[in-house]
Amino acid sequence: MLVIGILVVVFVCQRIKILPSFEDMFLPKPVIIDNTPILVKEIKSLSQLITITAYSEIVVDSVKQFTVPILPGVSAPIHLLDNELVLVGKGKVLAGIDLTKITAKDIYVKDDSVSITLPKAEILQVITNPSDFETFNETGNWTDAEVTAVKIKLRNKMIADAMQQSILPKAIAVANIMMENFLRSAGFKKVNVQ
Amino acid sequence: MLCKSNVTFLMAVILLLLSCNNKQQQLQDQMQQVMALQQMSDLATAQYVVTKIIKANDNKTWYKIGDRKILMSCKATLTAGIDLSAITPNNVHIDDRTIDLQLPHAKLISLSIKPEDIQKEYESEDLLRDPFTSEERNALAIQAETQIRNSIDSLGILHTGEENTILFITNFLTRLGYKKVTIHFA
Repeated sequence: MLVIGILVVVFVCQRIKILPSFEDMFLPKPVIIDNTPILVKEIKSLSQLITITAYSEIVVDSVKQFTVPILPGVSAPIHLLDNELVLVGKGKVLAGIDLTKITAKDIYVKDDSVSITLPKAEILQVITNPSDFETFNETGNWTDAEVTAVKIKLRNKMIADAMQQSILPKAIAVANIMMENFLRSAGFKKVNVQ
Repeated sequence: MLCKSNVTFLMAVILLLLSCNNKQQQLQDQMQQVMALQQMSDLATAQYVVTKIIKANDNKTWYKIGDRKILMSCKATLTAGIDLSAITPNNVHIDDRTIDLQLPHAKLISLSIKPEDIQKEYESEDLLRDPFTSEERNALAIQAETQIRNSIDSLGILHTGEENTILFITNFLTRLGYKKVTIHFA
């Protein structure tokens, strides 16, 4: 009778949130990082016109083979004990032009006419932040350096794919249109951007 | 017969244990990918490089015996600038060689934390605790990313972005022949 009474009291207390539920009681507490200061190390002035962003989502499946040495120089893999890391990585490749590369000889102005030669398009930034990665599967021990190497490989693949999608010709085409619109807004009637 | 199979099993276990110390690791990677392109029109004018220490202590779960602690450092690159597509003919007033330009306020264009810019500096765990997995380390880095993203107002990058925009556009329009350039943000 006493046990039933205690259980009823515990149940009621849990319902009115005085006591945590049994499920909550065994939930691991999240690890929260301290609010440490953010230090500014460097401030740079830029003049980059970003005209195209390529969004990518890549799945990387990396395996560290577990091998057993049978004879000197000969080893046999045991796939059952392989370490596997499956990452889903999202990222952005930003392309455009660096306007600081425009020199005086690239601009010709006469009355209401202007002619400007833009520099070549380039990859300006590749963004793969921690929040862009999801660990789908992780077995075994993966060191910091090994995980970083996998992420860098994924980033390089993003750049290669963006280049395959002709990101640079598209970036320069958009830059030409943008510069033309800007110069027309700035009052020029005849505009030539190349 | 039974004895022979036991010996074989024992040898297999010894081989496995020995191989733990000098196993040769080989990486095999497979990649699958999806891609989309989007047109943009951002003029990036300011870049800040910031650093942050990621400090965490996993000792809050009552039924886990022992602590584990980790210290990581991370470097982030923040880029700010303006969206040039917001400039319309209505935002531009020209009077002979004088131009008045109204630009949109600066915004954060990107926050980038490269994988190689996150480094584990120190880690310790008690006997009954496992080391942090790569997923757990990444979760801590995500928290740092959020804290950096939330601090952009106090860092002053948007103000610097607007100042640099004024400088760049004024120089550019002066090279195009304008004598007086006035820029304001709205």
